[in-house]
Amino acid sequence: MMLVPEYTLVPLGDSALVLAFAARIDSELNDRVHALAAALLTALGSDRVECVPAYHTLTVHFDPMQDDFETLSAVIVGMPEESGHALQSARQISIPVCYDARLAPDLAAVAEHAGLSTETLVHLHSTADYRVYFLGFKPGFAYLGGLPEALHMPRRASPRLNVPAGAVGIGGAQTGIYPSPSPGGWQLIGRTPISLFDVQRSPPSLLQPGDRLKIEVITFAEFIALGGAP
Amino acid sequence: MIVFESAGISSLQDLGRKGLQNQGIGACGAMDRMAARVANNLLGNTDNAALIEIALGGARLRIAQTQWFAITGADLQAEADGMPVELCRPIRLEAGSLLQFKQSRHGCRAYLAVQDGFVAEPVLGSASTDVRAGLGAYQGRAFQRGDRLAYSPSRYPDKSVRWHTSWANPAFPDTGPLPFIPGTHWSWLDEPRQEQFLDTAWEVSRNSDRMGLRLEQRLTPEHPWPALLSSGVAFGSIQLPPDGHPIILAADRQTTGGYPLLGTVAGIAHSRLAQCRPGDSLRFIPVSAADAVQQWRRREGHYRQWRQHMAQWWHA
Repeated sequence: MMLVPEYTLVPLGDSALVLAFAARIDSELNDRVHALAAALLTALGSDRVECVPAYHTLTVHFDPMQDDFETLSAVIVGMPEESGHALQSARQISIPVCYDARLAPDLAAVAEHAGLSTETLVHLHSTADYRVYFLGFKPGFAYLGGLPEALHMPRRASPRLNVPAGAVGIGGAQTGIYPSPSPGGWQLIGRTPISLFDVQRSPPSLLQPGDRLKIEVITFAEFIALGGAP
Repeated sequence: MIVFESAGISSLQDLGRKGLQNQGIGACGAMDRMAARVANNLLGNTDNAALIEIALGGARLRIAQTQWFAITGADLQAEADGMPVELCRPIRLEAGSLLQFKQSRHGCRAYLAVQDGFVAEPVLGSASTDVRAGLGAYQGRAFQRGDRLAYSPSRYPDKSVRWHTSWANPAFPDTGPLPFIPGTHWSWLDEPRQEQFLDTAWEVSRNSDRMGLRLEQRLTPEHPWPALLSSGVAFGSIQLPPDGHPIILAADRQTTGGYPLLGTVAGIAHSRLAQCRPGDSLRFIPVSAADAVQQWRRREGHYRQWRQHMAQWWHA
């Protein structure tokens, strides 16, 4: 059997490289990205490389006094993928989300865009099975896959200057939860009272790659009782 | 202790956070890492000791306790009690003196280090201030008037210094084109547009900051490029967003980005990026990753010899 390389390796400057599979959002491909990251960290250690997985790519930062593109590429190509302890996989995380209009300024607009009642929208959004592909954009922000196609909706024409921590949004084909207050252009359809990012926690992000995420719908009163601030 | 009588645009930095980009946590750290390391090494500190980064001047600091300091990076016309301060050498400042950074004569960011470092409790392994994420040893924010930073008393009150160094010294400017390693989407540009990128004297925009340098001119692909999935980026990565104005990512960049990447500026030129002011002009020249690494290793080898020499000079 002939082995066809399934990924490309490209330098990202002189102290990083990018390993890229075919560009698509695919959980099996993403599993392999994380497995390769884990294998590389196991083989070389976190002092020598820093791995940044994304959907279909793995960026490897290194110290150019120790390594370079050629030598690291050879290490990667020669590495058995199974040697990495893949994700602490199949972790099921349940996150309480309140879809009350007081916390969901764009709920009605998204429902109208989708041609659904708000009840159906909430049902669809809260019963979907989400997967954490990777963390990026800002501390503790999880790129989630699994948003039902009926709920895809473009970002707002002008971003909000202040999106509160815990806000649940939809941006195109993606859904996600803002871990900290920030400007943002996503359509806001709910809010969680729990904290997704805490520097005192290790790792500081509640959600980790490979996690499966379930939403537990809560009322406005429960949101407040759980410490949420409207 | 040092007291900010006015802060300008200044923040506490070190060499940044390591190993947390997979948590969405940015690398952060000093913009001009070489200048920061030199400032520390001039005092026999480790490379990573906490120090103050000052952009473009406008900062006044009262020294409450006699100690050795060093200033590197940009020439911001530093004065101590009205007298010019020499850059890139250890300077002893007496208790009560006023250290003032006026405005930039050359470069953008100066580094003020103190012997044994400023006292700072690291957050996620680093003292550096990431203003957007609200992370950092100094309340996760830039300095303001009235802020105070502690440091240790001097161990060597009687040393005398009659020299300075050329490392990170603005008196030795470097003006050649910036070497960059072409990236994944460089080949998406047709030949005339590659030439346009290389022939343009790009002007650094006023909208530049620690997150990235934005460039004034535009480069528009022949046909609009398809949307990309987000992927990891590095210091010096040159993004081309749909509006055609390139962005060169810097210390406070996000960990991943979704714009096409024309390439990444070689490590040896990162200090140049950090020292760009709005209105400065930049040219680019392609190099191979192998050549860039070779240049880095040569310089870094010399640098480490000097660093060892400095540590011995202070502590032997």
